Amino acid sequence: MIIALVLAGELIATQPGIYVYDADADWQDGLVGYEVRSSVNSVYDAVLLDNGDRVPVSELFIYVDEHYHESYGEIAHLPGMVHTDIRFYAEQAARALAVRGFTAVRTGGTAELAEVLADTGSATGTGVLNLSYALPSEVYTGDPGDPVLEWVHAGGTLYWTGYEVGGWYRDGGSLHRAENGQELFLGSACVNTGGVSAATGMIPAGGLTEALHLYNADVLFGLDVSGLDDCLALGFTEAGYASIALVGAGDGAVAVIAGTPDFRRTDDLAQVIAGGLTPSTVLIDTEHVDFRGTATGSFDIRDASAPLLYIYVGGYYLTYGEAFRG
Amino acid sequence: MAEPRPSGGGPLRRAVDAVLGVRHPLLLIAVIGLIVRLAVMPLIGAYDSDYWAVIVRNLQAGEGLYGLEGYYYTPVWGYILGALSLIQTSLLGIGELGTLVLEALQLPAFSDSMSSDGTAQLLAAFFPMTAMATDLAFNFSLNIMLFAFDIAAAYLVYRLLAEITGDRRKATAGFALVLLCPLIILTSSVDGMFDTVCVVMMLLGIMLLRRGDTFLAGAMISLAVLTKFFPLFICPLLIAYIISRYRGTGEVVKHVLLASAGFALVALVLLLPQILEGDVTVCFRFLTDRISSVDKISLMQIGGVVRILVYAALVPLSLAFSYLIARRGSAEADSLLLKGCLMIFVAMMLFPSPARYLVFTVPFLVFFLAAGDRRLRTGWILISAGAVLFVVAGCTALLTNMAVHAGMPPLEAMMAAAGSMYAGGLGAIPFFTVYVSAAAVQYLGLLAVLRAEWGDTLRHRLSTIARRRTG
Repeated sequence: MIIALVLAGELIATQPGIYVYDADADWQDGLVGYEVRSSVNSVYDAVLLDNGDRVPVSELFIYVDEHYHESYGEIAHLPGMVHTDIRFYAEQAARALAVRGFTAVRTGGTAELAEVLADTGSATGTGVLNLSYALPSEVYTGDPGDPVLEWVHAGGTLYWTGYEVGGWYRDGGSLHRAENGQELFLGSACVNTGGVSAATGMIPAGGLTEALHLYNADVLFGLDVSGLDDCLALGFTEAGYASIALVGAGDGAVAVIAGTPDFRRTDDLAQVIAGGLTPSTVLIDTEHVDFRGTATGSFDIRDASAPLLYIYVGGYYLTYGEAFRG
Repeated sequence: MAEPRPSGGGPLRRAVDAVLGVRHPLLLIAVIGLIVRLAVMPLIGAYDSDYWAVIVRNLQAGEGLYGLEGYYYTPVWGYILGALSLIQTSLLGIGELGTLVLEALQLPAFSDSMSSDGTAQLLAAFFPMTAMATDLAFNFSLNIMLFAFDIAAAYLVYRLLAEITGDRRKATAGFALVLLCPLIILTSSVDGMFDTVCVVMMLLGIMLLRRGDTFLAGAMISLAVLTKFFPLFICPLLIAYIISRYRGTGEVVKHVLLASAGFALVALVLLLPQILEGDVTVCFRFLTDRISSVDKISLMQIGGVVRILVYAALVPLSLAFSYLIARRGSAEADSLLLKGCLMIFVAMMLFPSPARYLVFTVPFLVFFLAAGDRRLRTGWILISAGAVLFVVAGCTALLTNMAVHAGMPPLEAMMAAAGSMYAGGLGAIPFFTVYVSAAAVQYLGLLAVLRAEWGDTLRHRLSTIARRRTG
């Protein structure tokens, strides 16, 4: 009986088709209707967002720093530094995004990163995710005219997680400090570099934190956005720092997803990207419904200038997601 | 047949009458065990149940056990959760696996190693918490499945005692001492952990080996090892047992090969998905860590090294027992095998371990205690008392799930109690006092077993050495 139980579990774990989810949306004048399907009991969230004049990211490049381990020892002594397997977490980010229907993801090293950032004409709608503490000198040297900054100002979205934004660049084998890196990317020095980690409060963000079921209560290397304009802070907070912040920079944005590397941070990162969040995002409406089989609903979109409908299943334990643009 | 008792009084009285009306001793003990577990079930801790929900989530998302992060063990427990999850969603109608408890974020036990508050760091290390409260039906269905494994573990000890001693009364006592052992109850019903599942597989392996079904025995031991690696250390004993039992029959090699084939086949079937994906190492992620604070040599890192040294020291102990088993006749082999298992697991736990790991010692300890070795009584009592103290230490936080989903106790009251128990600085003293006492009591329990088993021998050796020196 034990063997049967284990083998049944193995089949369930490895065979597709047991848990099946799907969603559709139908945009009409002043209304968006949707349909969600699940083969098992679950709960769905339909979240209607408005991004105003900003374009959400629709494709993502994940930068895997080839020299991450080589120079880590030089900054390991700094508060809050955590040595991690960035290849693993790059793969985790891609998987978490795929579960949410965001599959336009590719990974690469320095050469590919430089190529992506050189194409400022395609920056709008493109995201770059950096999981390392440094950028290569090919794209960043602490100078305002660096390719990465030009790319962001041209409309790209830079997602930064795990370390101080703009703090370091690597030239060949040596690591260099960019003294004004935070100002270059964010407009002011507002990164939590003191090692504060656990958050005790929630940032409602007009209902976005709850609507997206964010749950990574960790502000390590997060931002204090109190002095910043054109930004969206959400998630959780401690000592003024936010677990998630999206800061407008020119036509683009810098999004900082704080916290130590684990699946909670990956989940929140994936919600931000797959949910199409920008610094201008506001929550228009949301539904949270238990269901099995097929469920339908609709939202009034007359007040939204750039509506985006994000449907996901499972609540905090998300099993499926899909974003639909109006 | 028993006379039906006159029914009267309230529902409690009728329930007591119903229990007392059960005549078969095993059934009576099982009913008592069930009642105790139902009573403590609401205490199921949020920390591990959150992880189980994450694993179920990953399976339901089509990511298998090792696609999305969250499962750090070899596959067996994940597969069991997979089978259970289908029942939970299809039959029990569980939709949302859990929710975030904002109030719980206030508790300093959420602080991690990054915290500047040393007490908070210690709390996080000793009593990690999550702000997620899993669904009660999810928790209780898990509890009930684990209860079945508790019963199975107790019954297997019963059968071993009945077969080896031939004394049903001793066997029944063994059944009770396992099923009603607070540590077993704590592990399955409060921790929601699967150590008893592994123990059942290991005991089944031993039972099958005794019956001469070496292929299935190997298969079952493989299941046990792929559930939790501890039983790996008793494998040499099992091979020695085969040698002892089949020596002179010319079948030693055949049975060793059969057991090995059973072991290998199950391992192959269970690891096949990862073999096909070309990366079996993901199943052994618990041996490595994907993150580390390399700038600090932490207590945890030092502990990890010491743990490896302690486990390495178990190899000669395991080989020594194997030598004894293989040398002695099959009449003594049963007792030596079980004694070897007991001492290996006791020695393994000498490196301070989570309370639930001690579950591996309980069936063997109970076997010899119920068989008549009263010197082991102190060990059983202390290990059990320590388990009760662990529940007391964690009682307030353990009620998170009930407070959130059932409103009992009120969440505010629970958080206030938890705050006073786990608050940083002096406020943490009640928690640490009880928690450290619990660990110390259990450790004394292990030492009591060691003293009972090896104390006389050691004393004798020492006095012999002393006599030689003076003489």
